[in-house]
Amino acid sequence: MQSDRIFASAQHRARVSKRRFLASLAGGVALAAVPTTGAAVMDPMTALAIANTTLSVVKSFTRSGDGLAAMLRAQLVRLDVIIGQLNDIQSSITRLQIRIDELPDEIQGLLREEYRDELINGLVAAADQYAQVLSALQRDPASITHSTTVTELHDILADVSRLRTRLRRSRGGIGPEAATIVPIALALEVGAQGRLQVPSARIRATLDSYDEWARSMSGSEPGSIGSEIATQRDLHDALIDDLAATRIGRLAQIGQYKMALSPPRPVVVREVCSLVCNVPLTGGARDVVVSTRALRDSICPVAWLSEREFGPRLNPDLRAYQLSYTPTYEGPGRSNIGDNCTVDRRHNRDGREASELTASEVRREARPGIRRHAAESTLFQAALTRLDYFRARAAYSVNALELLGDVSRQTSQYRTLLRDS
Amino acid sequence: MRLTAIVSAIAVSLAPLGVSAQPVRYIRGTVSVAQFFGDRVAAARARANVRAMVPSIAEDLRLTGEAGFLVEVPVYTNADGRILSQAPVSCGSGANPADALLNCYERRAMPVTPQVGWIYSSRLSHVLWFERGQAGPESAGSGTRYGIIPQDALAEVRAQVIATVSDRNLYNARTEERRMRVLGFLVERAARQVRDAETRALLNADMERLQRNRAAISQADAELTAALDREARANNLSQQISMLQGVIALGQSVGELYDRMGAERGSDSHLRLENTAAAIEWLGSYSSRMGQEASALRSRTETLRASSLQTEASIERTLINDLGIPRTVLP
Repeated sequence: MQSDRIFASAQHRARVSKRRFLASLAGGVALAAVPTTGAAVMDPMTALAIANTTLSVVKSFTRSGDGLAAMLRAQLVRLDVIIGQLNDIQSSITRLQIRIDELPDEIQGLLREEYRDELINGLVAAADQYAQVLSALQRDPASITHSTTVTELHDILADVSRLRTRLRRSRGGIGPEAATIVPIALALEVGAQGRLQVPSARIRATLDSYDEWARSMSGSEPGSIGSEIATQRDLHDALIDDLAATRIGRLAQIGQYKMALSPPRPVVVREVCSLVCNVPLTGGARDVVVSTRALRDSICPVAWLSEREFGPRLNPDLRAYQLSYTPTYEGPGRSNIGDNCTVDRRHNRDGREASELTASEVRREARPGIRRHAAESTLFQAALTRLDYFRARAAYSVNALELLGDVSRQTSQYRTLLRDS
Repeated sequence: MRLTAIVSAIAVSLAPLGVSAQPVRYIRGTVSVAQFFGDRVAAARARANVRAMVPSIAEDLRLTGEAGFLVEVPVYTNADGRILSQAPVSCGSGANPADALLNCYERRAMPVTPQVGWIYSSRLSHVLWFERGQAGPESAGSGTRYGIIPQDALAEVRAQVIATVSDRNLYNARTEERRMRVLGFLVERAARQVRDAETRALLNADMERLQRNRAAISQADAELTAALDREARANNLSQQISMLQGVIALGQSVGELYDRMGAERGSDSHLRLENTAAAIEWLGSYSSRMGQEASALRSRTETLRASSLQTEASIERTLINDLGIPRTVLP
């Protein structure tokens, strides 16, 4: 396994070293340099020749040139960083350019929304005005025949009819936002028509147009509530597919959270598992799978763990399930066999084993692993927020669709009252 | 109800109309069955339909104390105009026909379920209004009188009911609209949260990249410092070794000179002079060899070491020329 290889190479590197070899040579030099006092007496010239040769060998090991290579390496690292930063800048500029290109559409969309909201607000204002007329009629029922009341009712009726026709014909006129105003407009228009004794044929025509509007909204044409729900569902499910391919997504079993599926039980996600080991390691932080008991119990017996519970959360306002990702545990612990963890080089701990470290020391030592997954976690959470938005938007559309059911019931009521059998 | 049964019922219940002692607005606006149908048979049929309902209507009015009672009679015909159904539906009592009609609507009392081929006749369908007292076009017995609300008046009544129902619908719709507005805010908030979270994620990723870059640079700097330090130490050691080698070489040279000149000790001065010149010549060639070695080393880009060797060679020349090593060697 990858982890075994890491530890094997670390031990191998520890056995063979240039330093050790040079140390042995230095011993040779010392022997040659110091005159022997034993039985074997060496000729001074020979001793000098040996010393010279030894010094040449030592010199060849202490050859200069490391400095230039190190400088080149350092420059290379800096160049890599600069290239990376240039790439980042380029990406940022591209993102910016894309955003700028999107601006006209966005502005146009905002203007459309503004126009739609203006019409909707106009209808709400007409409803407010109508409520005032009703209030006056409650105080004085006879005032219904007063010319001012009649004129006011005519004005309200004309406003409602004009505004809702424009809304129907505008972009977004068959979307969920527009649907919220349809029951008000219908009740208002038919109520005013009833009070003004408008011929039943005209009322029927009004009811027909509202029925047609509601049908368009619940249909599948672009911009309708039906298509809006389908769009949100597709976007949601595509993002689910993307997330299911990520490490945290797999741990969270997010593939089961497609919109059409019923929400599964919550699961605990071990988001961070940063191993703290007893074996000296080289290199930066990297991912390993805890594959053996030896690795879990002896080599890296301690880990910094961060766990969260991922599951569905019912939003009573939206009457829909959203996604919950809440922290449940953060602290030192033990990894499980099969855990996907991060491992980093061993730190200097004055000879202490990993199990002897305090929680804060474990955290400090596990910091590279924690940091390694911090960005991933933030991205995952951001994606969950977007999923929640898709869900909220879809739930809003479903609620709007239910309002259309009210519209249908209303028109049916009015037809019954008109004895439009 | 079968048509023959309706006809016989009308014949039994038919009662003469009287003059109302207490005029009531709605009953006064109604018309008699005969006026409405203009057809004696149809009128008789309509009266027969009413007769069976009268006791319960009178009881309802007595108990509720309401002004009147409404009965709807939808009429369905076939394509030829023949009446297929005219079953009456009790709507209930109310202060006026609009109230009673509303009551009828609220109880969702549909007259009959039309069948295939039945055509609703708005001309023949009618609504009966009952009141207690002596006023009204027709007597129903039990102290009640009734009449048919004319079509135009009925349209008004229906319009009133529609207005009342729509008022209620409006109230509900506004409640729903407010609820949807709250949901709209929730969706907007969700959209804002998405923007915030994505900005935060981007920022975090940028910060993480920044930290990584900084760490890479710091590590490179540390490695460079260590390497330069190593380099300096290596150079120092190299110089020391070179110096040591120079001393050893000098020792070897001195040894060689002893070897060459030892046999000539005690000879004359000319010979010593000649031997000294030979020694200087030999030292010159040795110096040249050193120079070549230094040059070879220089060609291997080890400038420092080469310069060190050159310096040593120069020192040796200086030792021989200036310090008079031959004089010392050859006294």
